[in-house]
Amino acid sequence: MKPSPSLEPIRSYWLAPICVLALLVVLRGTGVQFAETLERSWLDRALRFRAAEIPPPANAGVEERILHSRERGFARPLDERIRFVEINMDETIAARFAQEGEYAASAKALETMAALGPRVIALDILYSYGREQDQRILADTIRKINAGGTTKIVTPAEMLADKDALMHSVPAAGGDALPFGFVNVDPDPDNNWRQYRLVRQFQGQTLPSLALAAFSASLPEMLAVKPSDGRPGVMEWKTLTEDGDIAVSTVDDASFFLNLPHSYYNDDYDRRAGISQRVWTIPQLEAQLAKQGEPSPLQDAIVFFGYGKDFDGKPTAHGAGEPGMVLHATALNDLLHGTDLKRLPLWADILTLLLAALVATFCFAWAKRQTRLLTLGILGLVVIAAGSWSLIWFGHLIPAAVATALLWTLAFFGEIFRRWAVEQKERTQRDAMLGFYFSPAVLKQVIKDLGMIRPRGGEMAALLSDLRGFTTYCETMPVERVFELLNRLFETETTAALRENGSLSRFAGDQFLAYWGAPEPCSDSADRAMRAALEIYRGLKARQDSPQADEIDGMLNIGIGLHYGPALVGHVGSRQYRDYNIVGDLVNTTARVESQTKNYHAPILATAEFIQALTIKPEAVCLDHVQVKGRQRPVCLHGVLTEPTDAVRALAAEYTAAFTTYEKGGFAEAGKAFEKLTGCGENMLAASAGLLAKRCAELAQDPPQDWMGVYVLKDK
Amino acid sequence: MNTMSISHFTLLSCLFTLALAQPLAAEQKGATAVFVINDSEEFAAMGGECVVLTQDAVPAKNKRLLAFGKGPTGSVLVMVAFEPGKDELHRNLPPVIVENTGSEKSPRFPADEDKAIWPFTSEDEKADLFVLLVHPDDPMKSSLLKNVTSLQSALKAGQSDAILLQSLSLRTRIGTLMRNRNSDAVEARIASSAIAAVRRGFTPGTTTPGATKGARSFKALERDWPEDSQPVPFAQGSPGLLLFKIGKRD
Repeated sequence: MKPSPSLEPIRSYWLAPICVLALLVVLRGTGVQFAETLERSWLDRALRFRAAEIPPPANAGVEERILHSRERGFARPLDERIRFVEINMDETIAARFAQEGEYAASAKALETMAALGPRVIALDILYSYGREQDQRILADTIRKINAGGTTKIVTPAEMLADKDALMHSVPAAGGDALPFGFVNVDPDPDNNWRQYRLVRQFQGQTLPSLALAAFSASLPEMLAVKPSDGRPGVMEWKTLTEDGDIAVSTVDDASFFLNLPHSYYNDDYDRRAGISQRVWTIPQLEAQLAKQGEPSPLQDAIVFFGYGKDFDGKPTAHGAGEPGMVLHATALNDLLHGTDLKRLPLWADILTLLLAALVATFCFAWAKRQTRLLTLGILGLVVIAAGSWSLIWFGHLIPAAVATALLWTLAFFGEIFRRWAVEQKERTQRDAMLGFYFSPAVLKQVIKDLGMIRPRGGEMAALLSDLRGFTTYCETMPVERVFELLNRLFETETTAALRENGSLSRFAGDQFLAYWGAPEPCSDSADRAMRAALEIYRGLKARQDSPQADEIDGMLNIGIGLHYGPALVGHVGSRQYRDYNIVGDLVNTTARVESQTKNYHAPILATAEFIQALTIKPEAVCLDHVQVKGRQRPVCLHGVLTEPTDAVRALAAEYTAAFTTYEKGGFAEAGKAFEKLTGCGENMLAASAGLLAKRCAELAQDPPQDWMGVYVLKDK
Repeated sequence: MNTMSISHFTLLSCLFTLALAQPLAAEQKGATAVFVINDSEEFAAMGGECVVLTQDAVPAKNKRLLAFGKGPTGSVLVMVAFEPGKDELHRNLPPVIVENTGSEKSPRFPADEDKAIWPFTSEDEKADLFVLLVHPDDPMKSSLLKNVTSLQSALKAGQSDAILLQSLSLRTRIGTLMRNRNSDAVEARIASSAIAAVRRGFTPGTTTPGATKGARSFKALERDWPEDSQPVPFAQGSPGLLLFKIGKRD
């Protein structure tokens, strides 16, 4: 059963999408790194775009700049509780460090911070060197503040490169006894910091990162985060649901992508959200503490204390030098608000790719035109980009956007290439098919302008040849030898016709038909046909006369008919089969003329119209003037003298004189003259003379009343 | 009256109506005060001696603390005490949340119906008493109501985890208000006893022998407490917050 029209095209278009899909599934499944690197770069771009600021016009006035300052990116700032205290090594700090020592100066800074009432101070500075007495100053301060009950300090710990050792802050002063969180954050292979792990496992213990430790320290003791019983790598704590019910929240040691909102150094978002100064320096805090009666900006806050970008800058989506503590702060923010970004699992990626492949296939089936296809391709890429960014911003999921876009693009390119290849193939087939009909020169013109082969009419020259005795050969010879005979014949004829830029009509049995004057009009169509006919004759004769001639060569005896007149050319046939061909009186007359070649033993017979159309006329003699069967108009048959010698010319002159007498009705006299020529050495003239002699004898006995010199043939 | 035309009367009426119909968007003020109540036998006739909390108030065996507050009709008053710098309730005293209806009886903390007493017997007694006033159209009103009523229910049911979590949630809200510079969060003034006495003045015939100069009787406290109150300014989108730091701090 023939497939329904709606399905058949779809089945044709699946190949490119499915091939690309298979390739990308393999890449995704085997975790080839370059693909993931591209996905992560795309994630960076999504985060940057979300945080992008629209700059005001260059010549904007103050009011316009203020208005424009509202048109910022739509990233949300970090949780309002999060604050930073930054050490920037300026001259003031450098002087303090030099005078008091870094650890003592830091201890004072911690006391200043604690006095401002934060709930937690999380250190992102690993105080791991220095003398024990220096470390002790800091450790004692930390213990004192922790004991005060209001502010908790969380110290950092780092897994060393060999992974078996843990470096605590202030180790010499017993830093491992202080509350701590891991500060290890591993960069991606492209050296960008994107991922975080809230929980780490170390020597059989489940331990928190700095962000989780800071969160835990902000909770009452009884609600603090603790390792989950029986589940290594998992930590849990009690929390309230939106309905006010108690639930247990957990985090594990899986890594997630940080939902970095904007650059640490961009406080526009804070201002819009009504958040007061988020980033403080130590001198600023000291000045704040000195003020009386104002609420503390660090009250109940979770403060991250660390270095600025000069000492701890890390490349993230928002800048080449974001302070490391912004990673911990963002992780905490993601924990508080559930905004951590997760990579879609493998099965979801594959599903996405499959969906893209299916949509692409349907697009190919629907878009017949190139412009529509290109439009859909571009539209698809826009949808993939917008969809992936929307999923990142609002769904907190990272899809395989680059892989999907790659599949989409490659599938479309594949489809364009497929259509081009199909078109090329069809064109080649068409050209090959047309090449059967036209000479290379004509074919070139036809390819340039296919309109040339539209149906049209005009004056053309036709050549038709027929192999003598072919019917007998078919009966008596093996089929292979028959085809060998035909192919040798057609080889010669085709070569001759194409050399003269002729158009080939058909091979019908042993019959060969070529024409000139279409599809490319030419002014010398008759001349070309004449030259082709002579070349065919000489070519076949050369074969026959060659010392290597065999039996088949000996059978290459043909008659050629030539005529000039109006004809029609174009595609004829049905929907299932069509052929470019010539039709009309030209063809019929040429066929009649050719069929007379055997009667006159003339290798080449041409009509008077053909002779008249020639610009260079060959030596020929008018052999007869007849009305062929099926045609009203009489035809004057001219036999072409293929090997004119003086003797042949003299015989031709005699023939012509006899024919003139015959045409005038002097049958008896003409008959005698023809009789005389029947024994001459020239085959065509002798045969023609014999024919006419016999006719003259018949006509002399019963002369026609209205003799016009035209004899009506009874046979084809 | 004869000279007043109908049009004048209409104009005045409109202006009067407009004045009454002013929305509560403009800043308004509530009031709050904290008293030390002495329930000793000698003050039984007064129902107890009531003195406004001062910096140097001396704890004693029969003493307790009581806070009063009120706000304009429609506003929501919350009074809650936390351990200083912590998220736990002070002595698990239930918070008070009241929608001010303009009735005569002022909300107090601890509430009468809770039958809780806030003893003031030790010098080490420390608490952070927060008084919040929220505009009826404030966005945080409904979540605050839900938070406080859930905490009250948890306290009644004795659900320790729920108490801790709801307390944490409430304390976090308060912390947000305190950090916001645009809020009216202010630390309450707790004056010295001398200054408080001078302000209050001495009313002859109202004291019991042995009573503190300028003390009030508990029986009259419901009527008189506003004289010792502090304002709590608030507006829509800007809840009022006053913090009484009770007890000696370093």
